[in-house]
Amino acid sequence: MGGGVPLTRFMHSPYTESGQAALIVVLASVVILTLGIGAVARSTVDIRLSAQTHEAAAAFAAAEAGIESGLLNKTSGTWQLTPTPPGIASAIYTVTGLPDLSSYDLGSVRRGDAKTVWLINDVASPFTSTHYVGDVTVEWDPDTAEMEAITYYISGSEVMVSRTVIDSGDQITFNSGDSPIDDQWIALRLKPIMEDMTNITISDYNGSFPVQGYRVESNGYTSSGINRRIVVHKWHDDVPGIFDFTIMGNSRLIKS
Amino acid sequence: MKWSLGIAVVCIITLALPLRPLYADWFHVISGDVHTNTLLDSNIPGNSEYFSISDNSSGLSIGDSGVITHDDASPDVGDGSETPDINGGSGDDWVFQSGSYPRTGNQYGYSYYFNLLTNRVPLPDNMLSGTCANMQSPGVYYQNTNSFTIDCPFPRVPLQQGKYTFLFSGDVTIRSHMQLQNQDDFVTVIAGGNIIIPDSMDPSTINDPALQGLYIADRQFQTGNGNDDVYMEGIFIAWDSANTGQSFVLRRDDGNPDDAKEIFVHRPELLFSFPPELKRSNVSWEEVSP
Repeated sequence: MGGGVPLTRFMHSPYTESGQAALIVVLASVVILTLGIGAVARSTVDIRLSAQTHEAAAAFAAAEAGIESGLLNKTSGTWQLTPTPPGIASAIYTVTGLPDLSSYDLGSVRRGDAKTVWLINDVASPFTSTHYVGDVTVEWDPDTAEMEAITYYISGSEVMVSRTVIDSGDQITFNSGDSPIDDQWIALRLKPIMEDMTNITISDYNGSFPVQGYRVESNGYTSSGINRRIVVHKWHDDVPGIFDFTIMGNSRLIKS
Repeated sequence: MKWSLGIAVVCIITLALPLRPLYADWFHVISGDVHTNTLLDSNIPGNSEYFSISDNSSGLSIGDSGVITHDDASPDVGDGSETPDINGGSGDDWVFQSGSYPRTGNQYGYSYYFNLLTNRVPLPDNMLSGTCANMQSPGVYYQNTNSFTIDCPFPRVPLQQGKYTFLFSGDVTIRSHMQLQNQDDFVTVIAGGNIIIPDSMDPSTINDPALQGLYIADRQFQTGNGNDDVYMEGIFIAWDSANTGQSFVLRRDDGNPDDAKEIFVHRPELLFSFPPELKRSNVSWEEVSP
């Protein structure tokens, strides 16, 4: 006890107090600096993220604009505001005709409904458009399903119909030269009669097979390199199958 | 007591039987497909006529007869559909008991199209009635009333060339002929109630049809009780939303059982002049990796 240094000596030393103050200042500075650097870093990240979000949205909007342009013009091109404001994205879009493969699916078709295979190049002008010449094969599932195939064709100045009912088998091939079509067909309507079809596949057509719709791929981009890409398949608008009926009654259809 | 019970049983059985025609005449279809979700009975005399005939019999240039689908164990369709017979088969080859075809909600009815066709405008006065001198350009027109009568002081409603759609919230009586000008034209009449062709409509012939186009009734399609033939070309749909059990009320009759009084004619060109807003869009859309 007698050899020890009294604690109070250190506690009241002016050197010790100034050292403590310096330590506190240093620690406080470190804390403030850390918080400051963190805040700056966070702000920088936020700003960067915000800019990226903005640019991504701009690129997406440009890609959508490209899709709209492609569907409207049906030719490939670019979309860009003129004059182009700073920070606004542009788009490059490509338009290709459908089908783009050697066969394509019409998808499922409910009984009583129908889907169309177009056999002319210009569906808006059936009386003046070029007619497809060649084969078309139709396959369907399930193979037990009965199907009505209605071929619309032009005879003189009239649109006429030729019907086929297939009640066995799961495929049939039509040719433009079949009687009475005589290379003047316009469209083929496919109607399941007794049960839903899970799929109808069209194949065996040649290179002059008419376009059935369009695939538009649009890439929107910004000057900083942000890209967004959209792909749209738009088939020609179709008439619902219920309008194939000359008479359709939800209840009794009788002379009464 | 037993006697009373027997009477009751007989009455119940009688009421349960489907109502069958009381009329001498019949109705048929030229070159068109026909469907009913329940019974089908054309009252064809002695099964000696086709219910659906082709242009071979009709004299019109339309093509093959149609496919007939129904949900009737014993339909009266006479000799059926004409074309298969020509090809060597039976006329019944194209008559199918398909059962009812499903409908999604109110699809293809008045309220469905009223909500879909947002470009609609109110039907002006004197366009389809009165003087009919106020004919407007083709477009979508609606009339919100319990009943409306299309009646013009001309042989036909003076529609211009183009595509007209008329939406009527209630019944619509069509007293004047409605015909298309050319192959690109289209007229659609959609009624939230009944579509009625009264006895007082001018007589029609195969060359001067009463109606052309698309006609949809949420309730019934009625042809009145007159004895004139009614030729109707296009698409005729009746939903019977009031659940009367009968979509088409066909009571034209001149007492001669050899006559078909209501003649429905398929018009194939309507498929190609169909209004774009009534078509179905098929689009798939996806974002892919850049």
